Amino acid sequence: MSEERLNYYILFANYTQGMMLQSLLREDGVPSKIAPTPRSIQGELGCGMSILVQPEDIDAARECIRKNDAEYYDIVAIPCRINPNRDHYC
Amino acid sequence: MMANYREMWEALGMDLENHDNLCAVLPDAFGDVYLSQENRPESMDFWDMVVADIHGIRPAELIEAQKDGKKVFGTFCVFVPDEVVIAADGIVTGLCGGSQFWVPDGEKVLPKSTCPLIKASVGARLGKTCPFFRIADMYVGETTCDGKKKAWEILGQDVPMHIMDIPQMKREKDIARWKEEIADFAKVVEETTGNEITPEKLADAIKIINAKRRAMKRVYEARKADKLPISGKDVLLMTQIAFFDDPQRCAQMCNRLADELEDRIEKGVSVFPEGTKRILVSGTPMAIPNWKLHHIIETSGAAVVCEETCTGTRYFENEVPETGGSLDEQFAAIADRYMKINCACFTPNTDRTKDIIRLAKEYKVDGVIDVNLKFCCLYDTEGYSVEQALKEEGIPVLGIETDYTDADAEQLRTRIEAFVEMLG
Amino acid sequence: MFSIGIDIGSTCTKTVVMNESGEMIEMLLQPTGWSSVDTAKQIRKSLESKGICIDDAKIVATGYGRISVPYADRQVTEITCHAKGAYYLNENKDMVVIDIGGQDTKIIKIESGQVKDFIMNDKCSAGTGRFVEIMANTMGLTIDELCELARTGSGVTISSMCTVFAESEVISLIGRGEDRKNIAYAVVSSIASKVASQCSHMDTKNAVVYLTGGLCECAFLKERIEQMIGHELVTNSKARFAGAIGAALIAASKGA
Repeated sequence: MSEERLNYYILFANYTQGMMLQSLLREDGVPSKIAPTPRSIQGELGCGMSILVQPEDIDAARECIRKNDAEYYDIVAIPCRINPNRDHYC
Repeated sequence: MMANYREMWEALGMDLENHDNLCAVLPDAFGDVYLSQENRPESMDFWDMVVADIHGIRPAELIEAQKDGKKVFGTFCVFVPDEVVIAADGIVTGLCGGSQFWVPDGEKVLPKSTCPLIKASVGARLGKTCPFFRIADMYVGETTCDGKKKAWEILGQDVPMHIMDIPQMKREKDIARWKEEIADFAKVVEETTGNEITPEKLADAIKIINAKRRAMKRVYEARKADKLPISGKDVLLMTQIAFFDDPQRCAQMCNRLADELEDRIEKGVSVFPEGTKRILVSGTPMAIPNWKLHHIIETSGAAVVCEETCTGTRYFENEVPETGGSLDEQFAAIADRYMKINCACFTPNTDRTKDIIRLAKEYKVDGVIDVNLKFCCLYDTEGYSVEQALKEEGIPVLGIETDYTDADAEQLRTRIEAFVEMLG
Repeated sequence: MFSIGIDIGSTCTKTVVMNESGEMIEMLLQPTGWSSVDTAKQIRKSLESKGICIDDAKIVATGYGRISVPYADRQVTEITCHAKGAYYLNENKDMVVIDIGGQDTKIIKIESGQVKDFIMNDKCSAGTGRFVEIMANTMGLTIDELCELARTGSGVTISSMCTVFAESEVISLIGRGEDRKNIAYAVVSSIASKVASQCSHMDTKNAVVYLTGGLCECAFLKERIEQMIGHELVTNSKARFAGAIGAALIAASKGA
């Protein structure tokens, strides 16, 4: 994955909100992944669960949120950090 | 409502600053290993959510349960019978032990030549960086290896511990003695919880745990399909979290995943290209978040289709007969079931080799990777017989020794890629 | 069209170019240096200066730097490549290959041209080229000089398998005034015994045992290993190119 690519993280106040939105996104066929929130954008937010959406799908995700009046905390874009060849485990 | 796990961790007396370092690395590791996959089963959402707040969601549930008077038992090993705890309305939880993060704290009190699982477990408690290790009311150890036996003495200075004496052989008298150990454990559980274990409650608990085993087995069955509906990494995650979750919810989630996988098989949906080599991983357990070997295998042109480990088939194979009867009869039935687990702590342990060969055939594997956590003398020594038996069967096998560090990743890649190339 | 095998080892990089009739028309050897990425660029330049255009060649990269060759069509591990190369060099016979590399030593069993089994040392550098290199440096010798000197020595052993401890042993032997030839003998014997012990895990009975890697021209090391495993070793002046040859053969056969 190129470093330029942006990843959108939808943040939540709690996981119930997050799981609710995830099922709505699933219903609408918007590709999304449940992710642990990268530390750099979690800040003081308690909930560590976020939803990861690719740039080509973020408009559809926003539309899904608007249409369903779904609860979320924030949407943050950061350069893609996912690299399966990094061999850096925890 | 805003989730606020920091307050909870603080109240648990955790080392917040150090714990934060762990919270910082987990998202990247999970991203690299899990979120780099495409077309994962939708039901994995549940486990992804659990991991995202692995030290938040479940610990908060446990603390709520404790407020209702429930007692939490922290366990380290698949030999500790969950049924007995459930029968007394207790809760069983796994404990931290799968990350290099905890190893340095463990090495402060343990010899370096102790296996990483033990070092990490002790380090997670003493370093105050695992909420589960702060929450449990009682810790249940066992005598499955020398390293653990001595580690319990050190942990026991810090937490209440009960040790179950696991026999080293499986003769009739050993199984009878194990039944007595279970009966003794039941007394400890009754005292700790203040609840009586009745034959009826034990029968119910046996059914609950069997249902969880059956659900996990269904997921594993789906991996026998020619077109693999799920990656090995994803199943490993499911199994790792099974140690921490409520058994009924675990069964429900595993069954939901199995439904999806069975549907995928029907539709011919696979997460691997055709011709991907099928690998059985045998050997030592992989506690969460130890995903290293699975990730290396599955990014080297192969797929893990089964784990003959404690975080695999040894956890869920064989059920306790649901025939009810007296407590004594049920303890005997439980003892029988647990004595069917083929751990390298027993001598002889030829049934484990038979299990590996059977699983290799059932899951139609192209090769076996026998993994040993560094300094685990038992599995290391048994590796010789395992490799010998597999070679006799004409099943290719690769022996690997590794720990939780990243240092050997490149070497492991070379070996594993070469092994996959060798499989043709 | 050319088929090119590039073996970026931890110490040396080997490149082999084959023409369409399978003849090896170029064999290049260079130190890997600090960066395998730079090494890959240099190879490209030196091949181009010889009139070999990379763009229409089929290229397989191997060795620990195999991922650092951006213009390679495929990456194949050194184990598979060494097996293919040794099989080719030794007239397509079943055999066991001992490859002593810069940072690891591999024992590879080959049947009908295919890898049947292999053993690779752990992270530790005992029994590898690095061990000899470090000891040679400590003694102010080149590796070739050390190997030749070793033949004339006797009577000393290094007991530590660990390179770091063994180096201190060598330093104290030097300090004690031990004859350099005896220390050289001990160094060669130490690596030979580590290799022999690794070899004991592989059935070499009735097999041709073939030595590859950067030390295959060290005749005395070959002899010491032969004594210890009780088995004749076969090698060839091209054997250190076995990995690159295997990679070129794979490039040619699979169309990379």
